[in-house]
Amino acid sequence: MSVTIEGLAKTYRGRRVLDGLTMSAQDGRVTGFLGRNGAGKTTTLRCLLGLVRADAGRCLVDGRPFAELDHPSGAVGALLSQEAHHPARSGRDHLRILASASGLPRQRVAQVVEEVELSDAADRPVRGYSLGMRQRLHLAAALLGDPATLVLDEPTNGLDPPGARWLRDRLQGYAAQGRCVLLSSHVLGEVSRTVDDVCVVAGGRIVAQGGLHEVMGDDDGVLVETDEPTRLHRLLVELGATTRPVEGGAGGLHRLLVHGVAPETIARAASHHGVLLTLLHPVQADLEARFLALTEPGGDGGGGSA
Amino acid sequence: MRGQVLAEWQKLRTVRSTWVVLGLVLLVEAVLRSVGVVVAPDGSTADEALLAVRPSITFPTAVALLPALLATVEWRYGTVVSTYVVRPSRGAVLAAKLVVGGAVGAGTAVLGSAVGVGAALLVSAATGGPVPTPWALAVLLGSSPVAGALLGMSAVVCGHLLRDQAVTVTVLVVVLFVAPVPVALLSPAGYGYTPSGLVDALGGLGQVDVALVGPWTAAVLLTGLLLVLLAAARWDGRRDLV
Repeated sequence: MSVTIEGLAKTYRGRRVLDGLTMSAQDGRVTGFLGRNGAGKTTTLRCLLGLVRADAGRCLVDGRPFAELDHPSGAVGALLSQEAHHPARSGRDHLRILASASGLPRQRVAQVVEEVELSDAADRPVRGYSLGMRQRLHLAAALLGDPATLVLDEPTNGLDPPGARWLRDRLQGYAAQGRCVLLSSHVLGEVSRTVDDVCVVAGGRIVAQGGLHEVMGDDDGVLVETDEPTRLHRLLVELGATTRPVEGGAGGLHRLLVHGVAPETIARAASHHGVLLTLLHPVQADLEARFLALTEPGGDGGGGSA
Repeated sequence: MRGQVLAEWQKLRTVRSTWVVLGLVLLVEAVLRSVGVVVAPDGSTADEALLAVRPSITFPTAVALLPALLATVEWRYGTVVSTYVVRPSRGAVLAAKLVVGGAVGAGTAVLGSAVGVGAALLVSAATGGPVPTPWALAVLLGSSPVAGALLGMSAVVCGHLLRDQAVTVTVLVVVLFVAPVPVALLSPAGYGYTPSGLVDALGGLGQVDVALVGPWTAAVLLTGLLLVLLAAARWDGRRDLV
């Protein structure tokens, strides 16, 4: 097991950001670390890398705290920000500085520049790079030490579809090489196509953890929209269904995600009792629905924004 | 440690602003010290000629500027995170910055003094003004790397503690450039104990300016200032990077 985090707690100015967070990420797999904005994802990754000191708990990479590793850049490569560069410096110089600090030869810079397909732009100032090019530069920085573990904070933010696909292919390729890839994100569609495992954080705690399909669970249901949610809820409960309010309704309409009954049953019951339905849409199990259920206050995970 | 020192040097070397700042420092020293010779009173003695080519009022600030930028530019652009990810030991990173900041401070001071004194001597020769004794000049130039190194390292620690580039530069300008002026006007003896006065004293100017302390006392006091700042940096080492 490459990354282990146990009982992590952190309070900023009286605000509990992490509350006993425990999770792990394994070699050979891409692990998605999911949570809403402010849920504690970035703080967790910064604690893992020794940038933020936890109030309690511990973070281990291959069984040791990151700061105590003999060759940190060979153990962990990190992409924590797309903007952490001097705009007037060339991409190649940015990488050379990190290579020097890591004790790596200059040839390694040329290799990673080639690997992330940035050779044509490497000698230009970073201020002229597109978002996708900056992302490649920082991925190259993370790969410099040929690390066994990659830690990436919101790596798909702002990427266009080809860029996101490029990154996805790379990350899955690194995991296939036996590396541990841990990425935080709230771009769920992209994550669901990239990761093998997920850890969902809400309220500073892990509320779900496991294989992607295991966490997504059997979440097939029917999305309905009505102006009488309470009445519809009672009707459906009598039919043996469960309902959960979800976001999206507007203009006095409310949406419910219904489980346990078929769409035609819902339609007949609503029609029979004169309840207006403005939407009736079967939905398949997906990460977004599961994520919302887990991270909504009072949801399955008992979570909420920290 | 060697790799981190090289990395810190590369951080300075690879941005154009470093060379612009250095060029401005040399230009200002050349101009101000030349002006010092021109405005020196008629019938100046060699001692007064030495006072005329003393480090300009902007010299301590100029020497401290590049080391301060070395420490704070990382915070301005967020590269400090990458630095600490590849080198988690904050002490090792600070030590490397001290080495480079001290060397850059010393180098800037030597170059600034050489160019400034050289320009002043050319002006003095052209106007028939007095020239300091070779020994006095040797002491003045020879002390400059010591003063530069101590100022440079102190500026690095200031930047490390304050993190914000604008705040750090403002503090250095106030302490090294602005505050010495009223202090000198109100209490010439008090000026001798300001960092700027101590830099003058290190250059042997205490022999000709009664307001200044001796060079050894100046070296001890500047070193003491650096040690106090380093103690604060050690206490500060547990702060989060947020």
